[in-house]
Amino acid sequence: MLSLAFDLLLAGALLLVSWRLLQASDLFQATVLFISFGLFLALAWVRLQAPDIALAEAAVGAGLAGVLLIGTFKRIEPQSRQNHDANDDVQPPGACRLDQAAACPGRFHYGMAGGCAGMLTLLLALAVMDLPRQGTGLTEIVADNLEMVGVDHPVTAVLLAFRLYDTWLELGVLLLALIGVFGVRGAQDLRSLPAHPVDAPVLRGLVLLLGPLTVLVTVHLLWLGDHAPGGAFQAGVVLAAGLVLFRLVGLPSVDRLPRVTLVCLVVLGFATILLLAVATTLLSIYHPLEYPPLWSKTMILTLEAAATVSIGVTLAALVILVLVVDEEP
Amino acid sequence: MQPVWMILIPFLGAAACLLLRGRFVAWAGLTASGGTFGACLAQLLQVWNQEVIRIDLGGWTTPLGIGLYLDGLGMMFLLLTALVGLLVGVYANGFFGRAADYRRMEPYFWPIWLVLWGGLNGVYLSSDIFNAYVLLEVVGLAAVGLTILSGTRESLVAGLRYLLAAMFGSLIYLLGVALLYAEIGHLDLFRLAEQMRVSLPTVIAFGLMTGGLLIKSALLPFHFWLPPAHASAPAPVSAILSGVVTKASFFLLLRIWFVVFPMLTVPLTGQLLGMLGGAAVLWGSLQAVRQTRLKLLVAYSTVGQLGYLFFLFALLAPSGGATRAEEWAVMAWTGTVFHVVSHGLAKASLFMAAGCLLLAMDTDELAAMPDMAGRLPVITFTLGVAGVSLMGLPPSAGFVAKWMLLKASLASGQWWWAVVIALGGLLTAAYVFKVLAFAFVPAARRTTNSRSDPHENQGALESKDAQAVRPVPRLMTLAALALAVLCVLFGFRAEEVIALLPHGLGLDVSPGGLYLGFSQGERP
Repeated sequence: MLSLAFDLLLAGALLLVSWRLLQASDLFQATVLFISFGLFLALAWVRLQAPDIALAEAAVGAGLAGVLLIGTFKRIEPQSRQNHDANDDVQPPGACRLDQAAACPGRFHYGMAGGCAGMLTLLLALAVMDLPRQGTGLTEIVADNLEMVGVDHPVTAVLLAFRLYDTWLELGVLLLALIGVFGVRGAQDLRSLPAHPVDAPVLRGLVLLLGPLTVLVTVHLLWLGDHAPGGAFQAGVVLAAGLVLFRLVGLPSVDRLPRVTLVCLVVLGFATILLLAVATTLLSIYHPLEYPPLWSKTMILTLEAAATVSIGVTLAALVILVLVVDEEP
Repeated sequence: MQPVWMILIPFLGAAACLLLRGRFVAWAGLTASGGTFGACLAQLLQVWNQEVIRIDLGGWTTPLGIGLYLDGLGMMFLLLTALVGLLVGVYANGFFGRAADYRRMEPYFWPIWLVLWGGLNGVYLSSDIFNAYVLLEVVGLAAVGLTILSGTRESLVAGLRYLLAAMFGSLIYLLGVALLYAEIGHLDLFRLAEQMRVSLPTVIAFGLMTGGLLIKSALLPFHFWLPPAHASAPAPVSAILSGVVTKASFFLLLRIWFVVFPMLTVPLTGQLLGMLGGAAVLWGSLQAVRQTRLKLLVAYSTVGQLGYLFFLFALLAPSGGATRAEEWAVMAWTGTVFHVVSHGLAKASLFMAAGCLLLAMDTDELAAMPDMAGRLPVITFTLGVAGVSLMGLPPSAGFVAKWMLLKASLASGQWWWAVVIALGGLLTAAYVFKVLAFAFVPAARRTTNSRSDPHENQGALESKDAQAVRPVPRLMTLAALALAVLCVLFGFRAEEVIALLPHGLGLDVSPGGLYLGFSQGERP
């Protein structure tokens, strides 16, 4: 009964926040609402018994995306008009208020979008009602084959064994995002970006204390993936959060790494799986991307560790690149 | 020879390019391009001898793992990508070696392009609808990364629009995948085909997946992102985007329509896609005729030419994808595949030639081009040869494509497509001759010919008088010319393509459709 009330409250809050988000005429307000929407969504995932997705949603959807949005907002807010530099040409400053810009969608566009979204929702609701009650998915087949993989958590088995190819390509997507940003920003070295040491000893001390804790949580989440919700992505996101925090208070972080080291760390996860693929393809006794028998648990942990480092460093570098822009004088 | 190498070699090259510096980046990239091309030829031989190839990745069989599947259709797309990829690589080596502004992009161009190439090959090999989604993300993000490489305001705006459209398309597609998995419980194309049934969730999933892929293929109402993105990117990138990237989502559409949902392709849906395609042919070509900048003209021509591809759905839909042993079905398939290849080669060649012009003259305004034929004969010749194929004049692959489509539409009784094909050909001829007309105008008569946009032309012409044409690296012009010539030569190889196609398409196999053809060919 209590849980039903909580669920209803949560669903109501999600709807309310998204409605307010659409109504918001102020970009900053919209950003804050977006972050709180992400947090509510994370709670919803917890209620749906998907704690790993909840963790990812809270960390990426609300955390890192929120930081990126606020960084972007700071860059385009009207006050920065006086000191915007030459390469600040992505968006004209002063276009912050959504309801004032001429290019902004009007009532007609909102009506169209709302109509289409409503139609789609209706169709989806009808389709979902029509879906078979008993899950037709592959859950049972996955459970039957868990032993052959050597891990106890089905999600990890799917991500790192059955559908390793997809996971590998996702790491490729992450890699692409960072190279794309590097490509636009030019050959700029992360190290050449100005660091602004924060003049707050208590804050720095606290963040310093958080450092070892971040590493501990990262390793724990990584290890947890073997038998419980957790794994490379969650661990990587925690690592990224730690690295971003360090950078924010002016402590050494990924921006202190030489370029080659940074690239190596970013490619690490992708390259490790690539090596596995090349090796197994060359040795014709294996299928491509097949783990040697008995080694699969070790291999999974190795791949996950490499992926964690890559995910953490890539996300942190992405956020720092965006954040540092508005610090430029 | 494992088809996996088609994915591994570009990825290896990309990793190497990221870790190397200086000129080594380009050499590593070229080596990887050559390697991929070689692997593709070996693969072609294998597909030629053997019907279809199927591999289970990680040793997990299909309901659990992801399978790779290669048939004649996928092979043609792989071949097109490899041909364009190799020559674009050669071209890019010259292009990015030019000025400091371009050299800045080189260390980023190569890794992104190689990942893109691996992703495209992955799409053509994939037999899993979720895996296809991930690959589409790889392809889309890499394409956006390449579009914004130059960092100009124009390209950033175009790139952002491209990103949003591509993301929206992918998400819609993913929604369809989720619905289909919840209803059927499989992700593999052929397992889905076996268990397909008509129900509300599958129909909605079909609509969502088709809609998402249409957005990514830039069919008429969703074409808005294409021209600015393709026109504002650096020349080798434009060639890649227009020549090969646009084909990936179309390929997936073919798989979805004719493998997974053959029973849902009723005449109405097919005619709808065909109508959108017809509108794209006419509207895109008309817009191309109106352009005054060469790169924009070529980009709008892509919108038009992509429309031809969608006649296939209209031509084949009445037979429900089940009985397609009719002669015109073979013709429609061959024509469409020929159009994919000929448009890919010709369009890449056109964009590369436009890039050469841009390097030589610093502008791609058509009005600034008088007497180009005299000053830059090879580039003008390339424009002409590629244009011939685009128009569909006899010796070229474009002719075979349009002829086959024309015959198929008449034979199937859907004569209205023949009218659109003919009109589209005329409009194509109009914009190709518009370009050539500007190129052949003698320098003395140019002022009388530049009526379209007087004040703009004056400025361009003044600056033109001041400077001579700058030299363009020979390798670049030759790479563009090679693509155009390949496109014409390809027209002579129609029989081989017809022989290669039915492998796995089930065309020669009497009633039963694709998956029947597959199951016969797969387990010998």
